[in-house]
Amino acid sequence: MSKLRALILNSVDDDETMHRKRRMDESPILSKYLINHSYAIELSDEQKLLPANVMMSQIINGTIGEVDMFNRLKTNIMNYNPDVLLVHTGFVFRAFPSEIISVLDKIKSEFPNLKIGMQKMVGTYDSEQVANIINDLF
Amino acid sequence: MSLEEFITTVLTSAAVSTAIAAIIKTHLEKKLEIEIQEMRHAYEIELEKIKNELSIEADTVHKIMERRLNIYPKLVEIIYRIRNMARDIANNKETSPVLIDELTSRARELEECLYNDRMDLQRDEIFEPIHSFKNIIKEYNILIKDFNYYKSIADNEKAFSAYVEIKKIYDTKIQPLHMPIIQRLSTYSSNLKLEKNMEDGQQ
Repeated sequence: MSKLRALILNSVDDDETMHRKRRMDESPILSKYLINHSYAIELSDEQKLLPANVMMSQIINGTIGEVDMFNRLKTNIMNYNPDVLLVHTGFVFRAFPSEIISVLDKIKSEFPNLKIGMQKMVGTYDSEQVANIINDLF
Repeated sequence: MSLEEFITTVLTSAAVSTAIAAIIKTHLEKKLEIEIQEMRHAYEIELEKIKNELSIEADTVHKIMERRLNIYPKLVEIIYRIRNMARDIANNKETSPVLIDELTSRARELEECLYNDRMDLQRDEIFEPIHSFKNIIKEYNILIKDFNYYKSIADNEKAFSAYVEIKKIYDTKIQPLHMPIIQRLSTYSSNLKLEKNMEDGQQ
């Protein structure tokens, strides 16, 4: 039986996320999934050096590049061909909900067969259908 | 000029001068009075403004304290419970699935509080340490599940490595970070600025 391919859309590629990513990669419990990661915002080298609170505040008070995010996510989906896209509704999602939903709407139009699961948002997209996977991964 | 004429001229001149001086004095007094009244009025307006500002500030501080008293005790309870569960898990090589489920559920509860109480935590500059604590607990949770899995397949070597890692995360991250967070959330001070021990706790 082939493993389910899951692409997780995280907030940012900061240290904490990369640490959790490594932990997920190494986990035997999660080995039933093939997991790959994408990021709503990719941090610059300077931002990666900032303390977490400063980095978060800088992002929350800035803007999000909707086109960049869409293109990056689309490329990841085309390269990785996931069965499900799981959206971590972390601090970036909380700061830019309409922008991220707009990107996800476009992704859903481009890839209608791709299931999209939103953490904590049961009625949104296919979250209910993939609730068990969300439960395992978040 | 006769003496009479001279005296008349002097008296007339003196009378005119006195009259002019009286007019000028009256005018200056009125002007001064108006200026004093204007200053008094401006002062009263300023005083009223300051009173209003102080009243608004006191009201805001009161409302913020009320919000903290509604929100923070719950957060303290969750963090304290999580830390106790994490300690029990780190100190026992046998972990019941119920305890793991409870830890998972508390970690999610903490995450929910972070979303709901974001504004207050951000204002009090305490969002980030609790966010980090939550992420550490999530990582800890994955590790505990891995540990139990390795035990269930009798892979003792990997189970031991996972247990060492569990102990390490508890000793170096969970235990040092939880107390400064609880101290900050429990303070009665109206001004919760970042304290030195909080920064130390995150190292």
